[in-house]
Amino acid sequence: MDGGWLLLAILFSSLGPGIAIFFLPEHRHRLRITLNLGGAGIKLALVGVLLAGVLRGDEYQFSLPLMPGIDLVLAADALSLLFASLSAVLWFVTTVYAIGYLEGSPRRSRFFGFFSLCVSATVGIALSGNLITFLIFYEMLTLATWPLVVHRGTPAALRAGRLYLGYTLTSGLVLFTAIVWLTLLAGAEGFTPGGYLGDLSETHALSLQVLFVLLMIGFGVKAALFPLHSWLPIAMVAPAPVSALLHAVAVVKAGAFGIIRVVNDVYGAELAIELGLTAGLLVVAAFTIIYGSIQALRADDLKQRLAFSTVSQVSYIILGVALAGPLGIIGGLVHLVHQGITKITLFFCAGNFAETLGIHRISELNGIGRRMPLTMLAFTLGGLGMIGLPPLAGFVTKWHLGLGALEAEAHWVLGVLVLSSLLNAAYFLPPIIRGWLGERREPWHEPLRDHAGPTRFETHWMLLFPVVFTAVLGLAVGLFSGLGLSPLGWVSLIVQRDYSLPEFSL
Amino acid sequence: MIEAPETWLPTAIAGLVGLSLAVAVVATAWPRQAHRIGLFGALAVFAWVLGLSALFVAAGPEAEAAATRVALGGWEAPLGLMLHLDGLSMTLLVLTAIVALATSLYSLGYIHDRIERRQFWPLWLWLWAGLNMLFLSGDAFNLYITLEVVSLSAVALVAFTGTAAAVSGAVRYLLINILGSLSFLMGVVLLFGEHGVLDLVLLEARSEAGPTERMAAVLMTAGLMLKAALFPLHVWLAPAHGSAPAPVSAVLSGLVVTGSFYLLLRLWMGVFAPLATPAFGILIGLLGVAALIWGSAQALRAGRLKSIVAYSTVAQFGYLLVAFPLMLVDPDAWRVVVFFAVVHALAKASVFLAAGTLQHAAGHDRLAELGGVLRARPRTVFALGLAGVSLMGLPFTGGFIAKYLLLEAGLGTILAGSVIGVLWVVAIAGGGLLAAAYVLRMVAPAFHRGPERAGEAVSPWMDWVPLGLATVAALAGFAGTLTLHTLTLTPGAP
Amino acid sequence: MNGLAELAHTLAPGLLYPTGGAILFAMGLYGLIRRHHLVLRILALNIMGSGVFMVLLGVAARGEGPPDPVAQALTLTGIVVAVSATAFALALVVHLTRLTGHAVMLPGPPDDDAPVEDISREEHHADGGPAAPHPDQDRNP
Repeated sequence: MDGGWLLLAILFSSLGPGIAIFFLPEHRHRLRITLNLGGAGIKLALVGVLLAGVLRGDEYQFSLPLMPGIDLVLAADALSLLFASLSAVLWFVTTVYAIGYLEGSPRRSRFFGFFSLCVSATVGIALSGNLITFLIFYEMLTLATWPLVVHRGTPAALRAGRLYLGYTLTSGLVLFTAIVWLTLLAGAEGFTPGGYLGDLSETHALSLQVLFVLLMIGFGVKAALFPLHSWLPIAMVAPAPVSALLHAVAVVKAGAFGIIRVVNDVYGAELAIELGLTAGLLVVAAFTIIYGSIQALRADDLKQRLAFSTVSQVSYIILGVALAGPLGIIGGLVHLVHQGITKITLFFCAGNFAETLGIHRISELNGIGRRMPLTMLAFTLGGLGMIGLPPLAGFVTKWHLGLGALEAEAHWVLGVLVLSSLLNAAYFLPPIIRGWLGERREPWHEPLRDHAGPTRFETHWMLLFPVVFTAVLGLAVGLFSGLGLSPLGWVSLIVQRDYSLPEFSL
Repeated sequence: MIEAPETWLPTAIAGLVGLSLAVAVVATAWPRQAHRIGLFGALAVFAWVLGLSALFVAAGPEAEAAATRVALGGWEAPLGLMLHLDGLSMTLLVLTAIVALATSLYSLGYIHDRIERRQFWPLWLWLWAGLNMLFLSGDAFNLYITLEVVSLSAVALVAFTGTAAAVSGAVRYLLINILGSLSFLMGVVLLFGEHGVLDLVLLEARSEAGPTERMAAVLMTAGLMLKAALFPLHVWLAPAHGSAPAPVSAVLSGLVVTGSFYLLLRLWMGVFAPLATPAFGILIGLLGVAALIWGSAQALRAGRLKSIVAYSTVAQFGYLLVAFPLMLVDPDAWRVVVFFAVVHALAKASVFLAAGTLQHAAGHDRLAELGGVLRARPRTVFALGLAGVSLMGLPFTGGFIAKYLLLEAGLGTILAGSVIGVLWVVAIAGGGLLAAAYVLRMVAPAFHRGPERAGEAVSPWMDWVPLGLATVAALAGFAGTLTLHTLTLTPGAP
Repeated sequence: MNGLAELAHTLAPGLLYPTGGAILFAMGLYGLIRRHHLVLRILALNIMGSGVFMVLLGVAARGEGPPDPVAQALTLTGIVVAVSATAFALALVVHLTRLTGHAVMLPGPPDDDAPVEDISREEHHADGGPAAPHPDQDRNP
């Protein structure tokens, strides 16, 4: 059972510091930073160990009886590690960014406490071995993110928090009911590649279809599927690191990951196709992609544009899963990582513009490339990556999604991909063009320097370093996608290892 | 030589009754030292109960081996009084010990006036002893006596502050309680007249669905519903629980109400079991749904922190009523109901204790003006929130496990073909949302932007005990398997 | 009432007592609901109690032989409990009357703006007003 302890240690590497931080007095900021970065670093190292183990083919499992017949199960398969490593890496970066971002602001103990809880819940979701464990961490995530969304305490933030809780708790209850029902029908099985409901397809087809819809409603709210997405653009009133975490790692990804788990490891792609479930999901995902892009085009607030872009981009993941063929799944899974890295870069950039120069709107971005070249460069890389320009990360995704659509003979999906890329270009190019080519006459207003003194770089180094790091990472995962340990290589490994799909070849 | 645990059980049971009574008597006799006696007594009783539960579980896994009946003074039933310990009473004894210990520790900080200390501790220890005897009684008349001991000391504690509002609340509480007890006693008398015995086990063996049983069931159920503040006989609860001192509110909402519910459950699982028909079950379930909606609506409207918590008790007890029709379909569900009641008691007591701390610091508990204190006391707010999460039934808490099992039972009735099951499931799931809404009302002001105001200094006991108890409520989820196992050690129950 | 009538049949020899007891119980309940003066309400509860004891005595007298001693013992115990509860209730009513001048309950649910007395705070003890209870009155057992 050594493996089980490793999983627990990964969970507690953020949970422990998180709880400790709650009880720290506000002024102990050195200790707080040590705990934060220490936890993040340990988690990163432990996930590395786990990664190596899973690559070797070791089994990791931890289980604890909760109720008669129902266990809390943590397990590590290749898919869970994809999500776990993504969150471990991006958490480290976001922690650094958040420390820089919140420097000198009040209530940091509370903020970082919930921040750590949030990441613990995310990692718990990644390592969940069955639906009930998934649900437990999924709801914990809801509760841990609410204080982060309302952190600023303004009426707008509290309104956003109420809306967020309203949406997520309601969907959580739907999910809860669906999972209890499913467990009554099929028992508390662990996630199994290819699904474990095959035996019920004859006798309970209708129940399974209804359950699938309920599960999709449950996960769809967090994954911001149309028409359940309205909380997301409003929740961007949260501080930038929170938005970054919400959009790139934690909340929306948890929803998308849940859909992946349900389609692949609960129902199984074959059963999902047989019951006609993927077709509906495909249409919803495709519609959300287009809808999100159009909404993004209309937004002038930079963070709001990014938020709608998330609505659209996360649906790529679901689109890939709904294609239900190996290539489509590769496209969807790899986008889980690619979208995360790219979107976090973009949110960091938006946060830097807002913190350093007080700029929130796209129409104010004129000439910012000369004042903050590195940040603007990162933003450009992120934006182009989202559009899907080769060889950046987004291209790899869209390429595989296209192949998956051909494989599934859903040719209209190609049209959706092309249209959405055009729309992506239409809403990402204007800020980029303004930033580099626009002219600014009046001097910059400098809130950061005014209250924190001069900075050595274009902004505080703790704000700049994460941006540069994730931008380079986004470039690297695209450029080196042929390597075995790149996200694409890892995703191919997952598909090879876990999915016994018919006529599979890579 | 080590003897089997069951040989020690009778002594341990009689000892528990003796110990808790002795502590109460000694504290009454030496009121000057009452708080010291109370503290040590609380620790001793707590330890005793834990030891007893260890013996009890070790004596399993056969229910007949663990469950023990002790004839007081060697007089067997039907003439003598029987003490009766089984899985159900063991679970509630442990619950009582945990909440009572937390309350005792909290009271060390809360009640510091010398004179008040002398009054509070004896009353409180009598209440606890009464509860212990209530859970251990196996005799219908003796249950009436213990009910009276519990209610009279509870009333005295409600009147404790001595203000007009408190005394008036206490009088109302007393009248309701006497009415409930008399109604219960009338039922006992009818049963005695029909069967000539008072012992619950003997009564259960002789009971059938006759007119006398029906009459007795109506009287006893109405009386106990009145005492347990079950909808629609709940109107007295919020004034009494909301205006009592914080530790008293915690005990009333956490334990006293649960005690009456325990008795109701015990009667309907035993003596009145032949009377339970599906139509009756649906009626009770509908009352439960009404309680959930009404209690939550009041909690959403109330302007005072403690009123919110008190109304939430009415709402949460709605779940227990909703569970009644589920028990008719799946008799096993009674264990879930008990687990739910246990988890609720833990969470509710910690919410009341936390509310008491905030009220102490601010000098009032008007929600609109509480923001500054809430912001300045994150620890207490955290306790409030953590226990609140348990009330909502969200992970990782005990409330989640309880809600899961309830939902499972509810969906089970739907799968068994009951159409009205849909209503129960919607109520069970939707009640969580309502709970979330009123918990949020209590916690959200802590997140508003605004000045902090620490208010009056708070003793460490009042600072930490709510958090500790809330943590216990949260971790109760991990005790789910153990609790459900303990409950299986109840002979005669499904 | 059908149940009661049948019940009266089963207890045939002691028919009078149970029926009388049931009537007293009902009268007491009526009084408890209709009357507002607290002393009257306590009296009403006592009448209800007497009704219960009458039924119990009727039960004791059923059958041929001498009355059942258990039932009589129970009645005695019940009376003791009822007396102490009554005494306690009267003490509370006296205290309430001293505080408010009337022996009736304050209107129902608490006003949300009403001040709440918090005995854990200093000012509760400082003014020594109506809030401070007198140890030697009312509530000593």
